[in-house]
Amino acid sequence: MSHVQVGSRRLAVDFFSYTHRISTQFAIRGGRPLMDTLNDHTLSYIELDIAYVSRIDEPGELIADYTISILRKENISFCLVAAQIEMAVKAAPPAQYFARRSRQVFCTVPSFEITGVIDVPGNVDLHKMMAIGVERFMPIYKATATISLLQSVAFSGDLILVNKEAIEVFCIGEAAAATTTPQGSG
Amino acid sequence: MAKILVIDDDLDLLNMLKLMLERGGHNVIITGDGADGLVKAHDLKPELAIVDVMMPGMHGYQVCRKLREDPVTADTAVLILTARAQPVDREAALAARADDYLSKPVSPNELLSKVTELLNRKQMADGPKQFLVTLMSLRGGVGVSSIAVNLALTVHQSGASTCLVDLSPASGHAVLQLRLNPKVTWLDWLRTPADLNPQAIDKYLLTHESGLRALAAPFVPAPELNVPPEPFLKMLGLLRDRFQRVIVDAPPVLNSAARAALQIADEIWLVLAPEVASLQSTVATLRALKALNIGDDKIALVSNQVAPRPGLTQPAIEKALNRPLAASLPYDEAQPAAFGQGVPLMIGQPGSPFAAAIREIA
Repeated sequence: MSHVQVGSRRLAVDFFSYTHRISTQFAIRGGRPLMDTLNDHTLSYIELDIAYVSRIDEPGELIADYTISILRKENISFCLVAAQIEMAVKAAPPAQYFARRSRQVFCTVPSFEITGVIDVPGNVDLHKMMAIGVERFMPIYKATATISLLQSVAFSGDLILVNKEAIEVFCIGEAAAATTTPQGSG
Repeated sequence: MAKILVIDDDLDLLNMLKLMLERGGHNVIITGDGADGLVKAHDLKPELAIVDVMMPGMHGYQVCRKLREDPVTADTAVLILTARAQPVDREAALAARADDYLSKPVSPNELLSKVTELLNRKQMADGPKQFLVTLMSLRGGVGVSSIAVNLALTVHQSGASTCLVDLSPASGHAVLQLRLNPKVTWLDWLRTPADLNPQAIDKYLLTHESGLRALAAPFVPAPELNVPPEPFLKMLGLLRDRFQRVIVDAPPVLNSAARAALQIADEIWLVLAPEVASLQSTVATLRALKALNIGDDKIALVSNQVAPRPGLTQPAIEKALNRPLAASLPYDEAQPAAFGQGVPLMIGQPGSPFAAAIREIA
């Protein structure tokens, strides 16, 4: 029984805006990963069952909770998934997986600095990567978001989905030691 | 077995937690609502409350604060179990005066281990503030030092501030089993009577990597070892006042050090091997303790199987000594290697039979 984990039917997610942290247990409906919901252009909002609200200057303190709430996607700077990322992103198909490389990444969004690992093609084209296109939210793995003016406060997790429209600075570094992205099964 | 209250608004998870804890032998009460949880905690007085943070209406930190405000539930151990798993969330949980914090998802083993740790910690806090246990045998080679070292580590791991004292007159094994380099020993302390005060204690203690503190024995016996028990009593008294638990590995002779350790002990573990010679020695020791006016009620007999061959059975030992054994420790083939490597079983192989048995009786 020791391998069985509980509390996994819903995905714990922290959404961050410029000023607030919204924690929720996001219901994964029909097996649709969180990233697909975020990148669904037919909906400009994301619906939450219950939202627990904290201010960025006191991110551990809960100031309110609401049973019905929606977030405007364009105002989400990023969202953090601490664990169980298989519920948040689809596994890359094997062919695509092997054609890509993991690189260190640093970017800023309002109030935050984000570091982590990103999967990119062999020839990196930053213009292409930053284009909104189909995917507004971009996955950064093994990621940490630090409050720019409060460096002692950091949020870490297996995955950050960052809103490309919120990105101010985006830098790619050396190849990461090992990839952390989920592999395709097929 | 403890009474545990679980408060979580996720009813599926609540039932799984109940199942897990019941499999761990606990009596579990569940509720999906913070306010109802407070009522149940007040009425049923659980030893431990496991509280989710993200609950509508009254969140987990509020529940925790209210538990602390109610005199009836103020001492209940509180474990915050939450999907908010960031360092700031841990700080928030501790600021709400929770005892500990676990992030979801959690495995059954992880949960049960944390629950046991918290219950032990609570038991320590509820028990007497200071407690000194002396382990001895007038016959060497029965594993007194090994038991003392592993017992001290177990008690330390449970959250009590603990000090291991090796009172051997020379070349004690207890500190060697922890691979510590004793630059100072109790002999140095006794040679400096002005330091027999609380402020000087740390000068003479070693610190194991686990955090366990230890007072080492001298390498070479000194002439002044034949002193009255009073300085030893003062030294052990200082340690007992400073630490919640003091574990004394007493020498196999009734010298001043051993007499002091027996006199000041809240409990004496008389260690024997399940063999005839050890039994005879134990009978003699019991007589000697009686002559020293050591209270019979604080003596516990512990049998330690130090050889692989089967020894006397527990009923045979109890019949010969006319008193029950408090514990019977099994032979563990890993023990000699652990001794040699300086990594006690409680650290290197916590799942070994010997370590498990020590945990059982600690």
